[in-house]
Amino acid sequence: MKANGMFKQTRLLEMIMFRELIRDKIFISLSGAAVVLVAASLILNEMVVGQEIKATKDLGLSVLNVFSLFILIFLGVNQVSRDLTNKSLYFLFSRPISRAHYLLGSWFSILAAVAAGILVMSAVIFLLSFLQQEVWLGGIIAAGFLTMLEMMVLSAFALFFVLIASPQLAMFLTLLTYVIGHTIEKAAVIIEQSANLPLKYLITVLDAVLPNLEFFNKKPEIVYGLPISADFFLHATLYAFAYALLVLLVSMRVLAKKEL
Amino acid sequence: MENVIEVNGLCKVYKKNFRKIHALKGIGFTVRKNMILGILGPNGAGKTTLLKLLTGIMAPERGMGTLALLGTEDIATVKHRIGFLPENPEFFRNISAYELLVFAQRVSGIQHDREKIYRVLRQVRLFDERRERVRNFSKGMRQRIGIAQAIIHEPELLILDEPMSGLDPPGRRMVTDIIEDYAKLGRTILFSTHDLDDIEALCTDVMVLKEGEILLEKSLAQLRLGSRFLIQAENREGKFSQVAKDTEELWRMLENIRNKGMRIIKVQSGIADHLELFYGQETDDES
Repeated sequence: MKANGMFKQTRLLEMIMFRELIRDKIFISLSGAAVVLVAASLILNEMVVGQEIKATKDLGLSVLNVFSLFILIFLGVNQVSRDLTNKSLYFLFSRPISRAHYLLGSWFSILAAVAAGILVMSAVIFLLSFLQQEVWLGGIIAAGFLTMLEMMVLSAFALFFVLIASPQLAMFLTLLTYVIGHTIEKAAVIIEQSANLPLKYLITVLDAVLPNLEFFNKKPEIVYGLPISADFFLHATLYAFAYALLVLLVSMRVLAKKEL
Repeated sequence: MENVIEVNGLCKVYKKNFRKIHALKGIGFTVRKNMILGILGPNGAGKTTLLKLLTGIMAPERGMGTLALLGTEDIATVKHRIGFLPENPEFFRNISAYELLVFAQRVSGIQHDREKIYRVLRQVRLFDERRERVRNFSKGMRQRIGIAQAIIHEPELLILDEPMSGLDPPGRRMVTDIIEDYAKLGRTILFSTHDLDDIEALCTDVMVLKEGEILLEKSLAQLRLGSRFLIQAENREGKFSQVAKDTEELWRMLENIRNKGMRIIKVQSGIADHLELFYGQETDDES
C-alpha cells in the first residue's frame, strides 16, 4: 500500500479509536479522579507553610504521571484486548485495513487519549498555580511532554503484551515494566557490588531489554525550576521513538502471525 | 460469464493445543457474477473459515491452493470492493451508528455521504437510533448495523456470515429484501446459513460443506430438476424414511407402505426438503 494510503487508514483508525477511548466511562472517571486529587493539593498547602506552590507542583506532577499510566493500562490495554477477544477486528480487517494499520492506529489513539488526560490535568495544575500567584507554564509543558514520551514507550510495550498474554496479565506486565523501568538504573548500580550472580545477570538482562523510564523523570528540576538542556529533550525524544518503534515492529510481526 | 471468485485446492490448517486441525481440505469452486451462493453446513464444517479467507481476514496455507477475488489473487487490493458481515458482529462500542457508517465509508475509500448513510439506516430500520451508541444496541440491532456497514460502500461482492442470526421475522424479511435488491443490481452475494428455507427462497446456487470438504455444489435449478420425495413412515419398530426419485416411484412406495400396514407420517418434496435430506443425513452421521 502507498505511504499516503497507509497514513490515511491509520489516521482514520486513530480518530475513531480515540473517540471510542475518551467516551469510555473509565476515561471520564480517571480524569475526574485526577482533577480531584490535584485540587486536593490546596488542602495540602494548608499544612506546608511557606512552600505552598511546591506542594501543588509536586503532587500535580505525580498525579500527571500516575494517571497517564492508568489511562494507558485501564483504557488502552482494555480496548485492544476487547477487540481481540470480541472479534471486532473482523469488521476492520475485512476492509482495506491491515494489521499494521490497526496496531499503529491503536498506538496513536492510546497516546491521543493519554495526551487528552494530560491536557486536562495540566490545565488544572496551571489554574491552581495561577491561583497561588505563579504562572507556571513552562514546567507543566516540560512535564507533560516527558510524560508523553514515557507513555509512548510504555504503550508500545502494552500493545505487545496484549498480543501475547491475557488482558489481566498484559495489564500486570505493563505495570511491571513501568516499575522496573523506573528502578532498574538504581538496581543495576546496587547489584554491581552484589555477589549474587543469578540476580546480577537478571538485572543486567532487564537493564538491557527494558527501557529506562527514569530517564524521562525530571521532576526535581521542573519543580525547582532548574534548567533542562534542549539536548536532553532531543535525546529523550529520539530514545522514546527508537524504543517504541522497535517494540511496535516486533508487535506487528506477532500480530501478523496471530490466528484470528 | 465472468467469475468473481475462483478457488483452487484451498487449505487452512489451525494449530490448537499442539494439534493440527484441517479446517479446509483443499476445496475448489467458482462463483460467477450475479450469483447468490448459499453455503450450508453443520457447525465446524469450515463455513466461517472459508468466509474469513475470502475477505482476507486470514490467509490460506502457504503454497496450498489459490484464491482469486474480483480478478486478483491479492485480496488486500480489492477489499474496498467487498462488503462483509461477520457472525455475531461486534463494533466499537462508544460511537454512534451514524459515526460507524461514516468510518465505514471513509475507510473504504469513498467520500462521506450523509444522504447515503441516512438511506441505508432507513433500509435497516435504524434511522431513529442513528445517534445511539452501539453499546446500547440489542443483538438484532447489532446485526442490522452490521448489514448496514457491509453495504454502505455498495460493494460488488457481499459476503454475509449467518445474516439472519438474531433477527426477528421483520428483520429476516429486511435482510431478504436487501439481498434480493442487491442481486437485482447485478452484484454477487455469498452467505452462510443453517436455514434451508433461506437457501430455497434466496439462492441461485448452493454449496454444502462438511469437515472442510465440499459435499455438494449445485445450482438450485439443477436441484429442482433432481428434486426427490422424502417419505416418512412408521412401523412397530419406529419411524423410518424412504426416498423416491420421481412420482412413479413415489406412488409405488406409498402403495407398498400401505400394503404392509404401516402408517405414512408425511411426504415432503422441494429443494429445502431435498437439502434437508442431504444435510440431515450428513449431520446425523456426526452424532
